[in-house]
Amino acid sequence: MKQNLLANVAVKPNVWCAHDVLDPDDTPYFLQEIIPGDLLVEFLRTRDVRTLRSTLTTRQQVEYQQSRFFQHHGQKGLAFEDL
Amino acid sequence: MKSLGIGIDFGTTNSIAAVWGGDVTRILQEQKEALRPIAFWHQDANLGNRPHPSIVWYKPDDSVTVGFEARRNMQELSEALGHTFVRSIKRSLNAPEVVHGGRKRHPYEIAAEIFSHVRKHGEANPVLHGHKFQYCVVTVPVGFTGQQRRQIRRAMERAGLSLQTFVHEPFAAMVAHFYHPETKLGVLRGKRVLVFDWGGGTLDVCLAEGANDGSTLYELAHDGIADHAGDDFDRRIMADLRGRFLGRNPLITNDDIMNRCRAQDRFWINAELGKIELSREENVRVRVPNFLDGNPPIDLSETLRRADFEEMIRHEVDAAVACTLRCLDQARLKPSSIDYVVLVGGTSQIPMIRHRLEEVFGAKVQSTFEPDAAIARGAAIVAAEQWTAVNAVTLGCLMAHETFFPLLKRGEELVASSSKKYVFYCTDPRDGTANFIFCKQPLAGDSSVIPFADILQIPIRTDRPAQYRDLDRLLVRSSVSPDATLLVDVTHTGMGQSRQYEISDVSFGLKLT
Repeated sequence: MKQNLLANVAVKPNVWCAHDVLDPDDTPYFLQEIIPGDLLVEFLRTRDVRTLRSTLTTRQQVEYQQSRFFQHHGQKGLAFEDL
Repeated sequence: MKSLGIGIDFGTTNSIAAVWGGDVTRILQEQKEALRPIAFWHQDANLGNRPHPSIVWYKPDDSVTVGFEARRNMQELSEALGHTFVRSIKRSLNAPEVVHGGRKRHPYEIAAEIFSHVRKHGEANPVLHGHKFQYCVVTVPVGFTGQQRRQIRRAMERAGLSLQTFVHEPFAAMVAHFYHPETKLGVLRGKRVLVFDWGGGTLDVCLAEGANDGSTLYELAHDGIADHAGDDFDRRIMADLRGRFLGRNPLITNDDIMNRCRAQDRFWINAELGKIELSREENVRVRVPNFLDGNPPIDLSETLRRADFEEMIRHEVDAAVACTLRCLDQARLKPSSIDYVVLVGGTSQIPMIRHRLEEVFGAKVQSTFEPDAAIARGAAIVAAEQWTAVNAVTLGCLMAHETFFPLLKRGEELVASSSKKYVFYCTDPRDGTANFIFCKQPLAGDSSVIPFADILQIPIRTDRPAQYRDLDRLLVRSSVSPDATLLVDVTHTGMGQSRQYEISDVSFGLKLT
């Protein structure tokens, strides 16, 4: 059997399945807490501090902040704003 | 006992079948023999009970002979035109085809001849009167991949056999060693056993534990070395003897041996016999009459000392002990936590190996009865008792945030099954791929996992979804294959692309009830 063999170096898993749910419906709300914070902010289409604080988990808030500080030079971003 | 069960140990050097259940107990009681599975030995007037050499002899008229007759004739006919002898085909099962005597053959076709020989030999035994030699449990080395197991199954089918289940070789040997017709494996309740199986082709180490209630027997860890075993030691002995022969005959060169030696196979056989004898004697004389062509022909006659042989294999023995300790380490156990250490296989009978293991484990080291047949006997017991093979180590994949998702749990049956379906989502599409990292969770009650070296990546949509509910859906189907591997098929529900992954590193357990 042909396998897609790639060296497992610095590749992070980025998939999620709800435990013990064989066939979840089409509205996977559990994903909201799983996806990276900076990606969720993109989906929310707001940077309102209060909205983000109430919607993002603590981990997602950290991820969001880190993404702002590590944006590449020249990219648009909100690097030094407070949440 | 439920029915007659047949077990086959398909070995690199030797193969043998054994039978248990049915009328076997009554026959043994009538003959006043010990109650253990009957092994279908080759009975030799000089050598006694021996397993069947895994040697296939293709003759010029396309007829095939396997076993001792092939081995005997290999001495004389290996260089004769049209005669082809194939040894150690188990080592080449991964190859698409092998070339012997200028003819291409699939490895499974050659392996099928060995299975066929073992089957015919077994069918001729009166013990099987009225029973078909068909369904059997077959043992495999711990390091065998799905491809190799698949080749074995194909070989069996070609030989008219049907696979009941696969079992790891050392695991089967452990079953044979501790089995009792009345108490079954009761002696292993709450005990840990380490099996050290070093034969002609591979070293297999297996650590197993019996449940306290006697309901299951699980492999805790296994490890092995594929490259250094009895066959390699034979070659090393041959090189040593050849060197001494050249030293004693300064006018003969290595080229002379290459060109004038018509006894390479005989040399190999006698070197192997010398090695076996060294386990009992301090010195052995290896003789090969007519070693070199000439007028007159030149004989080889050299003395092999046990001390020299031990020096030859010291590094391999060190590696074997390290492999054993690595196996303990996988299960996070110390030598003191092991209740029994069982030695199986011809190579493990070398005194130096036993001494080295006794240094680590003390007096717990014991040799199994008739190590050449222990694996086949264990397989026959599993077949007769109809114990179900179960998965001993949970297999699954890593999800985001290093969370583990089990696909095949500890205790689930290792029989070909319909697939289980799961819907996965790619939580971060910005890489362009969904990354599946498969792994095993070796210890029950411990969340640590060991990832496999390869990952499966599946391309996802390049256009960014508008909201998290639109993230890419991946349909994952997992099933146990007939080769006791876990097959995982991942399909992107939107793009229709699919990828497959096969996990061969499955640990065996037995449901004993």
